[in-house]
Amino acid sequence: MQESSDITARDAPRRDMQALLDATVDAVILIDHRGRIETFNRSGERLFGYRAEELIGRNVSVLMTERDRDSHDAYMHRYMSTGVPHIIGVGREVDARRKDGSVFPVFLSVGRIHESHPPRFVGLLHDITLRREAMAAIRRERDRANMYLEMAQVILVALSADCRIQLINRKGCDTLGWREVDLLGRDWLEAAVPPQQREMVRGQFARLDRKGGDSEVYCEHDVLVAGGGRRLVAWRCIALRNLEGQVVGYFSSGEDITVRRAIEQSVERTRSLLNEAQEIGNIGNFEVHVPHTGVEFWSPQLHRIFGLDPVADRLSLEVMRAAVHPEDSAHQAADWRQAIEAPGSHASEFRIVTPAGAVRYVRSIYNTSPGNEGSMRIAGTILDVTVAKQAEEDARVAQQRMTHVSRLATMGEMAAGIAHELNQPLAAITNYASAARRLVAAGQDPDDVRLALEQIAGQALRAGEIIRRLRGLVQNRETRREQADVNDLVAEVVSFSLSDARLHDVRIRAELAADLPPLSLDRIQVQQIILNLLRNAIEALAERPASDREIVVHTAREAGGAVTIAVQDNGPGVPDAVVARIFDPFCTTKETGTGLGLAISRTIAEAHQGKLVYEPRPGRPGACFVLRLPCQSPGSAE
Amino acid sequence: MNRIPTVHVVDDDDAVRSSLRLLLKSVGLPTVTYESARDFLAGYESEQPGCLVLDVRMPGMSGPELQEELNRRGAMIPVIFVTGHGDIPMAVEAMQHGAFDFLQKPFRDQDLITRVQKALELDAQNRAELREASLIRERYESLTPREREVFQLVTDGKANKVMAGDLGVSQRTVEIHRARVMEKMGAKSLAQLVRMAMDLGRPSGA
Repeated sequence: MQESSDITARDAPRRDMQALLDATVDAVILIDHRGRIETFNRSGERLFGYRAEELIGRNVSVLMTERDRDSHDAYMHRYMSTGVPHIIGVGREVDARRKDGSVFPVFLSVGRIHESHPPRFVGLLHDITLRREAMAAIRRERDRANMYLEMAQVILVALSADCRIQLINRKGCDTLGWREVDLLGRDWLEAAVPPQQREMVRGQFARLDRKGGDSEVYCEHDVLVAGGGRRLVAWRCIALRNLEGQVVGYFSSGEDITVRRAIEQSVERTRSLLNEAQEIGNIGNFEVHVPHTGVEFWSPQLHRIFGLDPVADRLSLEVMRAAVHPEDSAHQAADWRQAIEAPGSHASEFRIVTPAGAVRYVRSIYNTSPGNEGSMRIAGTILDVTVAKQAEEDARVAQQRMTHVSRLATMGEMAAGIAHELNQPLAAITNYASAARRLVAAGQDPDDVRLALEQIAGQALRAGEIIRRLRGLVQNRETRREQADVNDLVAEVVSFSLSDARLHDVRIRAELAADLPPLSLDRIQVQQIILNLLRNAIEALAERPASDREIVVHTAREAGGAVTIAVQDNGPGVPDAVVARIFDPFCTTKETGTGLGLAISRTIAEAHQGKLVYEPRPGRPGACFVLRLPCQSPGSAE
Repeated sequence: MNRIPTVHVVDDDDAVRSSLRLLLKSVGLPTVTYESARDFLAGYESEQPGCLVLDVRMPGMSGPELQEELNRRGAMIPVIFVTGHGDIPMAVEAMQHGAFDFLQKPFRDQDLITRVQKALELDAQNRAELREASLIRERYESLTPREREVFQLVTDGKANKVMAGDLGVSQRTVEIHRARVMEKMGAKSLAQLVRMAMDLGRPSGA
């Protein structure tokens, strides 16, 4: 109180003090040693809503909350008894209470007025409501940022300029398998980067240093996982710089791409295996929508099949259509239309012409199904069958050649008979001519001369007919289907074999059915089968006495409509041991046989959708071979 | 019965058969044709002089089979085989079995005609020989037993004196028998009698 009297006594300093008190934004309160308010400035009035007169003489605790009031009393009491200050010169945050009872935060600084006895105190209360709020906002912001950091499914790492870990989020910790405390402050490269990759990572940081600004560096490297193992992480790093632009640290966000990379690699591997398989198999695939929806796929191998570059060229429905061979475009288009109209599985074979002019055979199999937006989805494969077609063609030519050779072989076996057959008319002609010459020279009987000349002409025709038939069988020619009367065909080949049969004392009897329909077939090839069967029968009959060698050629129509031609002999039949193999190539029971006759005969039969079988008749001796030819419905003939 | 030498043609081929007939007719050779070996066997009489033009290949009985049958029956008709292409081995075999000749079809008319004529000549000769042989046998059979003994000894080349010793008669008696044998057999010389003895010995096997 002494000092107070001194101040009151001196007027000028008092005015200065009053100005100071009025100017300050903080509430300034002077209290005596009992806590009674002596002075309360303007800012105090504004902050607390009291007028100074209302407070002077009242205990300062009226400005405090209940909680602070008790602690204030305790503090005051302690200070008074011990003299140890706890707050003086330090200040603390307390809650203040306005006249209206509302509470607000203030920063309280307390000082003891110099040399006051009993002591008097000055308190400065700075309204920290705004600061509190700002702090709270900052805290909230920080908490949220922290939450983001923690929640983020990317690894976030902040490093110092010397690569010490300053911050690492939960994802980072989880990925590395360490607790945050284990990592903070450690050298990032040592802690997390495999030795072999450290140089590379260091290089990336150096790049960041050089680049300046807020440029970003992307890199991928493994990180070491606690307890062994690695994860592959894709990093984006930036350098943190101070105002002078010096690097003060690095901030990296990383994504664990171990699984994604494995999936990507697996997808890539699958794709590359598929491409490889397509290349090896020479098969491509595609997906299109009609009408076009923008979704389409044409595999690389499909491009190659079409003679296009998978990278540089673009396949499309239009390109594909344009590549179809002109002769096949009509049926390919028809197949395509049908596929679009009827969802399901379809197939089409056609030729394409590559830009280089090469013709390729392709077989396309595709599924059509309703797609999005009312379009039809067509997904399919296109297989290059050129090689197979070529092989097929080669096989066909070889087969034809074999067929011909086999026919020639059979004919060769029949040569004696054929020569004999031809010799007869020639002998007759010679005789008639000689006779005519003599008759004319002798001036005899003109009727006989005329008869001779007529006979010469007739026999020449007979010889010509034999040669005509012979030539037909000897020719090597393309397979040719034509409508043929089976009986007529059989009769012709039987008559052709008669001389051979006669040579071997074999009788051939023909039993021809009357009601056979005409069949579309290759006349010569079917005759070849019968010729071969007759030839075999004639040989087989050599074991029979000459007086009892007979072949019956029998034609019939079966219940199912098939036409059969059976060649039955009364020889020994095919031995049981051989039956299973008689149609195998090179299976022969003859000393000079090629073993091809029956094999080729069967092939011919099958080419006619028919069958050639060994069917000995029960109760009848000898072999019986049956050629069964299907009766084509009109129009189905090839 | 027609004793004019006739050419028999057996061939199953109508044209060949009729052309042969016309050819043979053009040179004035009487010809009969047969469609098969059986037809020929049915119509042929062994007294009929002539020859056979026979096709090798025929259904039923073949040419060689017919030849075999004729041989079996003792028929002496000369056979000319006519073969087609490729029948040479069979023709050779036929020759070994006594065929007169063979021709391969087609053949020159002259070749056939020449062969046919030769065959007919052979047949005529055979038949003449056959007739002579039967005459000699007839005469032989008219000899008495003693005369046959003398015939045998004479043709064996025995001298009269030896024969007389063998037979136990006088040399004179042998001479009388011998003269009668010569007379009865119609032999003008010992050589002729010896040939008759040989002829007699040969047909005995037939």
